[in-house]
Formats: sequence, structure tokens, C-alpha cells
Amino acid sequence: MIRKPSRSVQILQYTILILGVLFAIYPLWFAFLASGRTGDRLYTLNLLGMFIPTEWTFENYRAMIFDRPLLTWLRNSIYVAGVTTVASLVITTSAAFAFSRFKFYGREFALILLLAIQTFPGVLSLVAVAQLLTALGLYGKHEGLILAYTTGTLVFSTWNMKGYFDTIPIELEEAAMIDGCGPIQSFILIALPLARPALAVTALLGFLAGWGDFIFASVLVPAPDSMKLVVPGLFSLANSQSVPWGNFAAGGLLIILPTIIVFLSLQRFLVSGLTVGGVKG
Amino acid sequence: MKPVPLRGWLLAVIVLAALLRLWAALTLPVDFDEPVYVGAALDYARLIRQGDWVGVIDYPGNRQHPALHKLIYAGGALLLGDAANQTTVLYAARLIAALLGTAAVALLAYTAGPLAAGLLAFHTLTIKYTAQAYLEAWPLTLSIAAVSAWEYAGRDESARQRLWWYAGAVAWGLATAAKMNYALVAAPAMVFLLVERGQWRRLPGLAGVATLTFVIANPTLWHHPLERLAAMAGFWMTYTQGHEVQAANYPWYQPIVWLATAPAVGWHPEVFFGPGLDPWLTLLALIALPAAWRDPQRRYLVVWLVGGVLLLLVWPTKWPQYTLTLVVPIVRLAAPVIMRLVTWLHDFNDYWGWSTLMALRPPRAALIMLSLFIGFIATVYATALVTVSIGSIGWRSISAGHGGLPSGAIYAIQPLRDGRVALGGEAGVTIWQAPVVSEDPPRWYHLPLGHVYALTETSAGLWVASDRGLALVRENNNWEWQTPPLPLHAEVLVRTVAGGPDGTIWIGTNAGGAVRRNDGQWQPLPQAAQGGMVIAIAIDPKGAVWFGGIGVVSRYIPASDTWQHFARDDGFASAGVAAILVDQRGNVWAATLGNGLARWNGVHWEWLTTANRQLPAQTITTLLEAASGELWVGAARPLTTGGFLLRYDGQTWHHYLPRNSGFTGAEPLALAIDQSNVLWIGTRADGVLTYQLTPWQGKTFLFW
Repeated sequence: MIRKPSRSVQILQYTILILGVLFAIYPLWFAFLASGRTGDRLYTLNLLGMFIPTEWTFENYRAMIFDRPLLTWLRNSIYVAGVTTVASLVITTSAAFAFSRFKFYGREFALILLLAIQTFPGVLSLVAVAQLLTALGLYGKHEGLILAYTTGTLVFSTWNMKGYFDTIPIELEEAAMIDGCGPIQSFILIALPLARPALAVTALLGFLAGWGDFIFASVLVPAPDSMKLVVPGLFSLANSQSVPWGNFAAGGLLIILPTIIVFLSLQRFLVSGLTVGGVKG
Repeated sequence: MKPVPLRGWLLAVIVLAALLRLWAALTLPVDFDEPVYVGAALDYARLIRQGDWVGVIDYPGNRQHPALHKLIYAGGALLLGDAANQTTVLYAARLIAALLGTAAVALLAYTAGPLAAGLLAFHTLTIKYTAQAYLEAWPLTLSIAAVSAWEYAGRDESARQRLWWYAGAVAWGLATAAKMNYALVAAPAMVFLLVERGQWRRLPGLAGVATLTFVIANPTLWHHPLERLAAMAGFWMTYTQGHEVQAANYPWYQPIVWLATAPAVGWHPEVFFGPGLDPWLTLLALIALPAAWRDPQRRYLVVWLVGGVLLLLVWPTKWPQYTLTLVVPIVRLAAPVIMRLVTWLHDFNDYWGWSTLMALRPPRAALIMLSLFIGFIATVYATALVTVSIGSIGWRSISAGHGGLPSGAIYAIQPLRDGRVALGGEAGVTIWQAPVVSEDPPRWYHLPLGHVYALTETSAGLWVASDRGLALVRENNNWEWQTPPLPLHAEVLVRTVAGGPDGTIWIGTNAGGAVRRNDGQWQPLPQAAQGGMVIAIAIDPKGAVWFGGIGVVSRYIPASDTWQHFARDDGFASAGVAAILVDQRGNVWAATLGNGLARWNGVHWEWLTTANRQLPAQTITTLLEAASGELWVGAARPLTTGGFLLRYDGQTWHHYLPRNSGFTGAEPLALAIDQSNVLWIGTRADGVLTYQLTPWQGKTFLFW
């Protein structure tokens, strides 16, 4: 039997929850207010204006979309994040399927090696990655960044996908093979559709790796403006003399929307994808 | 889901084509040849309005191209009436081109189906050149009409079929009269159709009809046709070896590069979003070639494309618009390949149902958010772009590097009575003269008169105040120095000059002013600007003369020989007075370099500053009153380069900014309106900007 909490406890619970929600949402609301304020001001002397929009202009949005290269940065980020997502999906699903279904020499060692690589902090590899990309002629190019992001997502995604493939009965693929499917067909036409939740997680991780990163994006593609991704691009708006806060806020709000859209699109797969793949091993 | 009917697809394709072309017409910058064709259209319109039909036939400009398309543009100029000028006719011609380009898509949709037409609608190079005032849209439409007519024409001898053959020949002739290369490129395919259908005996008759149509539709050939055709051919032979073609230095295979890329997207990323389909369509057309050759009904498309490519490869001139002659066979060849691919994918998916299993099917919230996100960005971008595009209509820039200006700094502008415009800069006076024939470039005359500060015109000629003294430039561009030998001046620095209605000449020097009476004698005016440097002079219609100096404005009434000085107590502090203007209502405006704009209402000075939110900056560099009574003001940005251009209509200040007009944000130093109602803006470092004022600007007197 579940004991119903008393009213005072309920009030306390809701108060804490409401405060938590306000605490979480206020920065976003603050940015929204700043994005519609005139004159590149982060604050206003109008107390009411700190909480609700007492003045509004779309000038900051216009400036970001039309005057600044935000659309170019968005296009670059969509390209990098999109190709990283596809590359992660292709590489990790095929690797995970091989780890899950085939017995081969060095399989266990490779799986443990992947885990060992995961323990290495990614930022520490930055210089080495930059050197490698320079040697490959990919430094300063989006393709180099895609390579770096894809390798960064490989370990977790491969383990996660392998865990999910392990939960799919192999008998389904065997039945398809009896009907004439080869290994590749059974992988593409049978296993992949069943692994949609894990694919969604892999896709989301790949997208987030390419979209929200600052350190790799700013070091591996430092210039020019037309090559930058959204996060380092937004950072570059500020200089030692001034920060265009209104533009900054408008740009920040615009660039979080694609992430929310991708998250919403994959939402129904995410919980099962993370838990099933994560529990099994 | 109910399939969309064919009529719906046709309509969608045509609407899409129209929207894309109208968007491009509004937003594309002025291209190389556009001023030439617009100039010809203006000249034709003028001749037609005068009833000078012989003048139309013998019009000497741009004879290398047949006249038909330019006459169509002239129709737009005629419809504009008094409002026709280089700018308005440019946009009228673009609108006509966009409508004709849409007609080409509609015709292709009708004859070859909505898919091929949709591909043409999206072809970026076609969008560009059928949305600008080029000579492409009409011959493109007519070449589609000509080939389609012969495609429909059958093998029998019925009158109806004969009609199609002759209709095609007429369309072919009209296409030639608009621009000849479309008809030339389509010629092998046309002849192939004729021969393939066993109608080759008709060739002489049809060629005769086409030739007759060409001559009738091209008035240039109504006098001395053979001579003028020979001159046309001679021009093209010379042109292929000319400076422009040599300077472009395109390789022989450049047409293939144009077709294998989407150059318009690279040139105008602000107009075309995302990568163009052009190279993919070319690739699909190449894939389709073998199958099309095997199909007798479509073999002529192969002849059209291959023959056209060979012609363009051989032809020494490689301009990108020439490849538009090949776009129709490309899209017609590519369309079946796309249809086949779609059918194959559809069948594959029907069997496996893979898309049903793997489709993401995002929730409605995600779709709504995506739509809002894209819609918001598109709306803001389109609004900003349309605002800038509309605001930029009528603006042109003449920089020191590309125009005839010796330097980018222009300190004074004086429109002359004979229509010329004098520009004073660091390297002397430059006189601009409009061309006699519109397609010719303007003429420039340079007079090395030193660092010019001010200009004014009287019946004697153009007076120039420069660091070398005072010069008088006569009508024949000869000049003589007229620097007065003034007492108390070791060396006279003539800083400004103004002409009085009675023929007197007033100058400002580094130590007061001076006036030259009608008898030619100079009288020093040491009281002007309290003996300091006089930077600006204005003459009141009532006879008073206003002198602007450093922190002082002086009023001198010659009739009573009285002086009145306005200085610190009146708000002038220590800033220089860069310009003084007496407006039509008698108000005196003083532009100060730091204190804002002062207005004398006869009793006291009112100050317009940033503090009272009247102005964006307090460094006012120049003033001008239009005939309408509107006040134009130039101002400099504080602490940085660039400036502001403002117009005051008596109630509201209108700011001209790069985001809402063609004003580049350069610092204005001089303003003037010439006889063609063009506002000239001299800048500190960026040469001259011109703005064609609308016909209603400058004609209506605003009482304020």
C-alpha cells in the first residue's frame, strides 16, 4: 500500500519542483528577453522588463540571420552533424553487428580495447588529433572535424548497438537466411529495423557530437568565418571591446532549436534504446 | 492518399517557376550586360514616343543582337511613361524577362510534362538569366515552341500537320530575331526532326518562312539587310578576338564547366539557397543519352544536346548564358531517368516495406517546431532581403578604382547647367558627362586643380575653391586662377566659395571672407567668422550672407553693412560649421562637426542632437535641400569610419542604412541633385554614390 503524503509535504514537494523548473527555465527566458531588447543590452533598468518583455524588436534576429553569417554556420553545423550521424550509424551498426553475431579471433580483446580507449579523456587527444588531421591534409576542413567526431562517438555507440543486437533473437536472421537472405541482407532488412531504438540513440549522440561542441570545432576549424560551426561562430561575435548581447541571445535561441527538433523526433526510441542496450552486454 | 492530378502539378510548377524568377529579379545585383540592354530599351522607347520609326530601324546601338527582345523591354519603358529611367526600366525589363521565363516553363510543362518543366523551373542558371534584363527568356520560350511544334507535326500531308510545321518555322524565326544562338543550337535537332519524319523536301520552304519572320521581327534589317547582317557577322568575328573575351580567358571546354556546375549559386549565394540541381541534371541527361538515341521519338534530343555542345565548344566566346540554349534538351533527357529511378525505388519499397519500418515518423510537435523554425528564418531573411533589394533600387556606386574618379574622397559636388556634374576631390575637379547613346560609358574630364574644398557655378563658369586658390573653369574646360590678392593675407587659402544671385562671388579664407563685386574688385571681409577660417557660406534670398567658421556663424547684411555673430552663447562651442543652408522657408541650417544641427528660425537657434533623439550622430558633414523642400543630411560616425545619410520631410527623419537601402554606410561629405533628379553623394573614401530619386520626390513641395 502506498501512503499518500500529507498536504504540507505535497506543498513542499511542489514548491521545490516549481523552483527547480524556474531555475532551469529562467536562463532560457532571460536569453529570450535579451534577444528582443533594443540596443544590444543584456539587462534593463526597468525591473518589470527583467521578467517580461516590456519592449520588443526582431532586429537582433534580423541581424543574426541576415547580417551575420549565422545561416552559413548553421549550414556548416548541419553538414558536420549530419554526416557525423550517418557515419556513426554506418560504422557502429556494422561493427556492433559483427561483434554481436560473428565469432572471430581478437573479438574479446577488441571489445575491451574499445572500453580502454573510452577511459582516455577526449580533450587530451586534441593535439594528437590536430596533428593527425594536418598530416592527412584535413586540418581546417569540415571532413577532418567529421572524422574526429565520428571516432569520438564510436566506442559508446558500438557497445550500445552491440548490446541491443544481442537482445534480438538470432533465429529471426537464420529464418531469413533460410528464405534466401545473405548476411548483409539479413543485417539490413531484418536486424536494422528491429534495432531502431539503438539506432536512434546512436544517431542522437552523433548529432549532438557534431552540433554542440566548442573545443574541437574551434581548434580543428579555426577560420575563416565561412567555415565555422555555430558554437564557435557565436563565440566569435564577441571581441575585446564589446559583446553584442542581443545578437548573442538571438543566435543562441536559434541554434538550440534544431537540437530540440532532433530530440523530439527520436524521443520515443530513446528510453528503450538507452536502457536495453546499456543493461545487456 | 489521393494522387495530385496532372493539372495540379502543372499549376504548381508554373507558380513555383514564377516565384523563383520574381525573387531572383528582385534580389539579383545588376549584371554585366543589363545596363546595355536597358539603355537600348530606353532609347527605343524614346524614339517610339517621338514617332521616329526610321530612328528605330537605324538605331546604331547594340546592333550585334537583333532588336526584338530589346523592343519588348522598350514596351516596358513606354508603359512607365515619365517614370522611365535606367533603374525603373531595369526592373520593368526584369519583370518582363521573369514572365517570359515562366512562360518557357509553362510551355515545357504543356509539351513535355510537369517533371521536365519542374527541372527547368529549378535550374539555377536559367533562373538567373531569365530573371535579369538579358536577351534569354524570349528566345528560350520560342525555341521550345519551335521544336515542340515540329515534334507534334506528323508525317502526313494534312493541312493541320502542315500548320504545325509552319508554326514551328515562325517560332524559329522569332527566336532568331530575339537572340540568334538559340535558333542556331536548335537547328541540328530541327533539321533532324524534318529528315527523320521524311519531310526534308519542306526544308527550303520552312527556312524561307523562318528567314522572313526573322527579318520582319527585326527592324534593324529593314534598311540595308545584307549590309547589316554582314556587319553583325563581322562584329562577332571581331568580338571573339576582342579584349573582353581574351580577358575572360576561358578554356575551350568552359561550356561543359558551366553545365557541370551550378555557377549561379556560387555567384549569388544570397539569392539561391543550397546547392543547385544543375550538375545533377547534366549528369542524368548524359546517363539518358544511349536510351534516348535508341528511341526514335527522342533521338532528336540527343542531336540537340550533342550538336549544341559541339557548337558551343567550337564557338570562341564562352559566356555562361550561352549554355541556356542546352537546358531544354538536358531537362527533357533527365526527366525520364528521374521518373525511372523513382519507379524503381517505389517498387522496391512496395516489396520490402523498408521505408515503413525505418521511417522516422517524428511526432507532430517536432514537425510543427521544424516548420516554425524554417518559417521564421525564411520570413526574417526574406523580409530583410526584400527590404534591402527594394531599398537598393536606384542606387549606384562609382568608386575610384572602377569609375572615372581619380580618388575616393569627394569634398564637393556641383551639378552644372548643361547637365554635367562636377566633382571636387583630392586630385582636382572631375567632370562627369552622361553618354549620348545609353550603352556608351559616361565621359570623364579631369582638371588638376589641387585639393578641392568647394564648387559653385555662376554665369561666368564653375568656381573652384582649392588649396591652390580660386579657379574659374569655363565651359570648354579651360581654367584660370582668380585667387584675389587680399591684404592681411600672407597666403590665401580659399576654403569655400558661393555665388550670389547678383553675380557676386563670396569666398571663405583662412582669415575671414571676401567678396568680388560685379566690377571685378575684391573686398576683404575680415569680420566673417570673426576673422577665423570660413568653412561654409550661404546666401539668403533676402540678401543676407551667412558665414560658418570654427565655433561661430556670422550674418552679414550687405545693404546695411551690418554683422551679427553667433558663437558659444548660441551653442556653437568650438566645433567647425561644415555647411550652412538657407531653405525655401527662410530657415537657416548650420551643420556642425560635433555639436549637431542648428536651425535659425529668425529669433534663436534650435539644436537637433543625439540627446534629443533627432540625430544618430552630432558630426554633421553636409546639407542639401531638394526642390521638394526635403532636407538631406550627411553625418559622420563618431570614433570610427563611415557615416549616416538622413532625409527630413518636415516631420520624420528617414535613415538610409545598408540594411534598408543601397547606401553603403560611407561617410557623406557632399550632396547634390542633378537635372535628372539623381542624388549625388560624395564620400570621404568610397567615391560617389548616386541615388535616382523617384519622380514624385523632388516635385512636390512639402510645407513644413
